[in-house]
Amino acid sequence: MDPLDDFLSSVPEKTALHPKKILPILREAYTIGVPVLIAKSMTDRLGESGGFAFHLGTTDPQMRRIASWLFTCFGEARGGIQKLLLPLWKRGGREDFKLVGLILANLDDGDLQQGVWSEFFSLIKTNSKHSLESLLEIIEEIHRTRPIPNNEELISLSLEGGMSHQTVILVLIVGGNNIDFPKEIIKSAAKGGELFERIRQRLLNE
Amino acid sequence: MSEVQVKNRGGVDMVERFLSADDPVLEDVLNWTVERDAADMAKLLQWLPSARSIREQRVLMAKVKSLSVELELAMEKMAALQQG
Repeated sequence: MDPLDDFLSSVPEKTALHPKKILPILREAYTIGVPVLIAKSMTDRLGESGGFAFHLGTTDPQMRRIASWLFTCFGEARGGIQKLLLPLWKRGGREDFKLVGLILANLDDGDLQQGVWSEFFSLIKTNSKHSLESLLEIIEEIHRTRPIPNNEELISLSLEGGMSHQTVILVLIVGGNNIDFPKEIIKSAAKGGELFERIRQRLLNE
Repeated sequence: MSEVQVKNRGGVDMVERFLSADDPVLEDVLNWTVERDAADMAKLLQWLPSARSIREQRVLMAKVKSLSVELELAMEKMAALQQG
C-alpha cells in the first residue's frame, strides 16, 4: 500500500456520495505525496497572480487514481458523480479542474441528463474566472474519449457568445483539422489573452 | 380578456386585445425561441458573405436551415396556442 491508497481506503465509500463531505477529503487527497514546500509555493505564486483557488502540484497519475477511486465509490450509480462537478468547478483549485476533466471524460453521455460536452459548456457558464490552461486540459481529457462536437453544435455554442464562443475556439484547436469551420466565427469571438490570441491566429492561418 | 399597450413599428402607440394563452409558460418559451432563432439566423447570414470557401458557406447555411425549421415550428405552435 502507498500513502494515497491508505488514505483513500480509510474513507467510507458512502462519504463520496455527499459532495459537501467529499470536497474537503479530496482536497486532502490531492496533497498526499506532494512535498509541502512545493505545494505552498505553487499556491502562493498562483494565488498572487489571481489564478486558481489553489494549486498543489498533484501529479497526473495521482489525479487519475483519485478519479478512479471516486468512480469505484459510485459503482453502478455513475451518474451520481455528476453532482460533484459543479462544487469542484466552483471551488476552483487547479486539481479540482483536473478532476472535473477526468470525471467528464470517463462518464458516458447516457450517464448525464445532457451530453458530456453540453455538461462542460454548462459549467463554463457558471462562472467567468477560468484558467485557459485548465480549460485546454479538460477539453483534451474529454477529447481522449470522444470526438469534439460537430460543426452545427459548435456554431450553436458560438452563437451563445462570451465564454462559450471563446471556448469553441479552444475545442477547435484541440480537435484539429477542421477546415470547414467558418473562419468568421473564429474571428468574431471576444478578445482574449496572449495565448488565446495565438490559438485563434493559428486556426485562422490553417 | 387582457389589454396590452404595444408600440407599432412607426412608434405610434396602439392598444391590442388578445386572449391570454392557455399555457403562458410555453408561450414565453416559444417567444424566446422565435426571438433567439431570428437573431441567430441574422448573425449567421451576416457571416455568410465573409466565408472563405463554399464548404464554409455550406456549414453556415446548414445551420441557418436548421434554425429556420425550429423557428417555423415555434411559430406554428404559437399560432395553435393563440387559437386555443
